Amino acid sequence: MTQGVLLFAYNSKNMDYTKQAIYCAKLIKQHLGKEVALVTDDESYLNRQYPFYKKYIDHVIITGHEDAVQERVYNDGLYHSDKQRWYNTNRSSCFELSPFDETIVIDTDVLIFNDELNRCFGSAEDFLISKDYNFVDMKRDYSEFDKVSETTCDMFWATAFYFKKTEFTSIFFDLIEHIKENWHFYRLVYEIAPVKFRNDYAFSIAIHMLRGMKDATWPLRVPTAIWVTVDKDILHAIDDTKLTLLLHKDYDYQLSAISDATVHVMNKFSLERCIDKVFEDE
Amino acid sequence: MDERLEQALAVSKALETHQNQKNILHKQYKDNLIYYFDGQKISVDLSLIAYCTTKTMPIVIIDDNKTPVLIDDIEEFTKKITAMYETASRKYFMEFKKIKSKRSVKELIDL
Repeated sequence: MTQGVLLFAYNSKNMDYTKQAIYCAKLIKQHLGKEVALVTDDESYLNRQYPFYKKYIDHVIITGHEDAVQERVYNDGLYHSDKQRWYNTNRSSCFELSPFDETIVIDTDVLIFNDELNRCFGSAEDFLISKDYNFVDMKRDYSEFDKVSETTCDMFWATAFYFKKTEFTSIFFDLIEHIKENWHFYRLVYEIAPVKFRNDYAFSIAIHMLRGMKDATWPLRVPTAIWVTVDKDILHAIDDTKLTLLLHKDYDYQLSAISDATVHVMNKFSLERCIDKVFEDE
Repeated sequence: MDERLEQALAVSKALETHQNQKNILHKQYKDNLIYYFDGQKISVDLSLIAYCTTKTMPIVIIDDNKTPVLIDDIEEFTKKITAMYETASRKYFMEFKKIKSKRSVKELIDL
């Protein structure tokens, strides 16, 4: 059984997801020791900008992104924000795209500083997904993210999930594709206010449908704690396995640090600044 | 600003940072007490260790996902969860000790 990690990276105007993916792959090699496959649309950029990428990425899968224009505001701490396009609607294609029998799919802004995700491999389950996040700012309340909307189903995060290529997971990803194609119908049924398609919502709806619209223990969670810092926080430094962060308060920041953890860094601007420092040595 | 108030606010900020770091360590400790094997997830605590210690025959326990698990080799299992409990507790103790005596934000984060 081949095992590996699949990353998606489609650059937008001011956001270099390819850079994030290479750094993410570097951490995967260091802490999980697994092969990495990158799905992207621009091989020449990869070769030109990051000629060292082959040290960390074993498979490059070239495929275009869908034309659907998605825009969202990205914050860089409390005092700067930028509206950016993003292309991340083809995550449900991971079943066809992955070169591995067992695959972990993670966002490129998830930083891995321990080997806990390796527990996924060899699991008796066909599919595992992340659900409960820990905020690095532990005073922040998670409950508002617990449901897709107040009256509907549990929220799961497509930020990190694991699957085996089986008939069951094929049905699951086909269902996500169907939800994507009929997004405006499903978002009304599930009382989702934002018009934009989001993988997290589509995965959550598919899970809800597959478990018979009821609560169930399926799917089990990815066997690691995932920490999150929101985009109004600032990643200040990466030092070996320690992240130093500025956590936002109303009009101020609070310093914090976390070590040996898996951390989803949502402030992509500050993440890229830190990666630039790391890549100076490449 | 009144100097007394300014000093009090600086102390309050340090205490808030201190508390958040303590909470992070405690959450990481709780996560380190979860034993994963063969797709099962078992939260280890002293009562589970004590229960297993008294057994010599295979036992069934119910994991965190409500799945029954047969523990065939109870001796080996007890040894593993005890070692895990000790390692996690020791790590928590060491990390906690590092931040316990620190009073400024700078010291706490070890900048």
